[in-house]
Amino acid sequence: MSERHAGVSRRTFVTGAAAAAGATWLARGPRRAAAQTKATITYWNGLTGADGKVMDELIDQFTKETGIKIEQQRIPWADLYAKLQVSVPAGEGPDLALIHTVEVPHFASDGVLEVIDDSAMSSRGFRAADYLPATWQGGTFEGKRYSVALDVPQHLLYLNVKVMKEAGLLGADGRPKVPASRDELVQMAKQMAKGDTFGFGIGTVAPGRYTWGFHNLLWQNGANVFTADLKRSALAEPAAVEVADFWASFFAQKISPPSNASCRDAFIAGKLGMWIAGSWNFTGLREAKVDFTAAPVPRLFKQPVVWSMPHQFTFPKPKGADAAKRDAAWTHIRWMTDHVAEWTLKAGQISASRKAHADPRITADPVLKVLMSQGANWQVGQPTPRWVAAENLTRPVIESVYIGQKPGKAAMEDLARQINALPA
Amino acid sequence: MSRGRDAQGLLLAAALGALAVLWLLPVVWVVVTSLKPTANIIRVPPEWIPWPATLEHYVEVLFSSSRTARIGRAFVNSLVVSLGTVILVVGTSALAAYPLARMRFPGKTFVFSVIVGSLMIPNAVVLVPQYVLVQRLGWLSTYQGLIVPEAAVTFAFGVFLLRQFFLTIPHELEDAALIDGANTWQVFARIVVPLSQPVLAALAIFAFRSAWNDFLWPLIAVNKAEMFPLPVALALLRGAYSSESYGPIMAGAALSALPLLIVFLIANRRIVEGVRLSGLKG
Repeated sequence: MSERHAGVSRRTFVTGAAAAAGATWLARGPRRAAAQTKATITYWNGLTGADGKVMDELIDQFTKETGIKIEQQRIPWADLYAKLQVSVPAGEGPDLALIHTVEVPHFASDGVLEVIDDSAMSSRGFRAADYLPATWQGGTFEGKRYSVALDVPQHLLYLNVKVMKEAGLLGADGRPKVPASRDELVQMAKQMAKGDTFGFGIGTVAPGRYTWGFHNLLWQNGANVFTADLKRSALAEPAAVEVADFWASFFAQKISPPSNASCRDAFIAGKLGMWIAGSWNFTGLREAKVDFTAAPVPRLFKQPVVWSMPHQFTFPKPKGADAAKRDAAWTHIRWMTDHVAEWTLKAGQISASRKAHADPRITADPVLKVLMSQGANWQVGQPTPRWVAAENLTRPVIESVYIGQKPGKAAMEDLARQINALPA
Repeated sequence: MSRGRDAQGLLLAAALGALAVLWLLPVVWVVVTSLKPTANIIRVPPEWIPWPATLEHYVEVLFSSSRTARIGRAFVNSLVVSLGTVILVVGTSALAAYPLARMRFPGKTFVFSVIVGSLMIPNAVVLVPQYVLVQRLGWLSTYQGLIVPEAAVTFAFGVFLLRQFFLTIPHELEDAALIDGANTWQVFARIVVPLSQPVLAALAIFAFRSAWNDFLWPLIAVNKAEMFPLPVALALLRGAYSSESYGPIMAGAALSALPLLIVFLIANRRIVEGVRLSGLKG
């Protein structure tokens, strides 16, 4: 053994080692280039169910066109957020994640999301002018950008032709009448409510706990969860209490389904006349062959605000920087933004970018047309890390109001106290 | 007197029958719904006889190429994880419980108190440290990364259950074996374990059920869709924003309940016996 060692001079050894290192480096060159053109990125989102299948189709098309592979992990939204909170600090997060706008502030303040600098946005052609303000602003927190909006899930009013016809609420044109005010909505709902048929519902499942519907009404009345400086809850103010009292009247007047019912199932079964719910429901209603029309969310209080919750592309903080993966992720965001008309048509979600809004296939669709017409009235949750925690506290309180367990004023005062006690 | 007793028996049977129907109703509804064509699922009044019946939802969840529903693979994953957990829990709990029940050593009470005390720690509290540990071991998205933590969850309960049972085994049996020349290991393996079959079966069922139904840990610890167990894969069948596809969900739920049902039917007697003998309800 030692003799063989002795036979290799230091010069020979160093020369050989240098040659081997050079050969390895040369061999790595083309492989690295190949990896850059065929990067694989991980992408987490909550698009389970039918919209997930649409996303699969688009991602397959994206991979064919760009060579970039995407490994998706789809889990229900609430679970996705829990997983992000644990995985990202441990360096096990995805390269790209789709989240809701209201999640941006707390994930940003917890250090889960990476800041996106303006040059990265502008160099890839993302400009504020291409977006409606609510969607563009939703991606920022404390002056920094953390996300890019994809689409705008939002509310609209579904009208069940069968139920409204039976109640004599079709207009001269044979289409369901659209309520123009709160009083008119209640009066029409009462006209339809009979036995197990209800006139009005808000929310997909468990209407009594539907915070997104409650927020929509709050915003219409000029109220909100927090004060403008985001320091205290504004829910004990008279405008919020007025909304809570209206919320209590749904079930008390027997115009809405019970708190734990499924408004979606009731609407499909022809047991619900007017339904304020998310835009994500309309493709399913068409599949179920329900005879319905759609209208903008009616103005029930002071202003015709429409609740919306854009999906946002974000970059969870990685363990180490990987330029190829980040480039690939940007390529996907750009590609989806450019092909968002397909997403809108198949998944029923209006794009955040205005570019697709003029697409004739979209403008020809009566429901998509209604959704786009609401653009000026879109509003999103307030940019505070306490928003999601406040929403979790809101759910049982508004349910207690809905079922008549607690008066609106007392419930809102109690809820405001709970929210004020949340850690800043 | 006899007539009164008969009437009492009939009343009891009727009450139990009503209770059984009440418990079974949701299960029957799951199976009935899973056999209905989509268009018939939400229909008022609801139909209890699925006619025309279809297996389309079972085909979809078992063989769908969609990445949302890999129920077939998830089924296998759940079986591997649950069986692995059972073996690990039963083996380690028995080995730990025997000295705690039968041997004398310093700190025995303290060790037992710590193990039993750990039952009071909520799972959510250990989630992050456990995740970091499994990550550092390189076990994320692996079977061992699912089995070992699942087994750890049931271990303390297993030790407690088995220790209580081992305390009831007469000392004379062990003494006789020792006089015959058996060593401690032989006493454990040839006397105590065979006598403990009912309670070991009960523990196996508890461990199987716990691992089979767990959702949160696999959700956090698995980053590859092909490694998801059934509860996570079933959750993927739910549409975002509650726009449900009831047919596949019900078919998935019916399929996922099958193994537990089979295990329970096979080991029913032993489970009841084990619970009775150990004085625990689990």
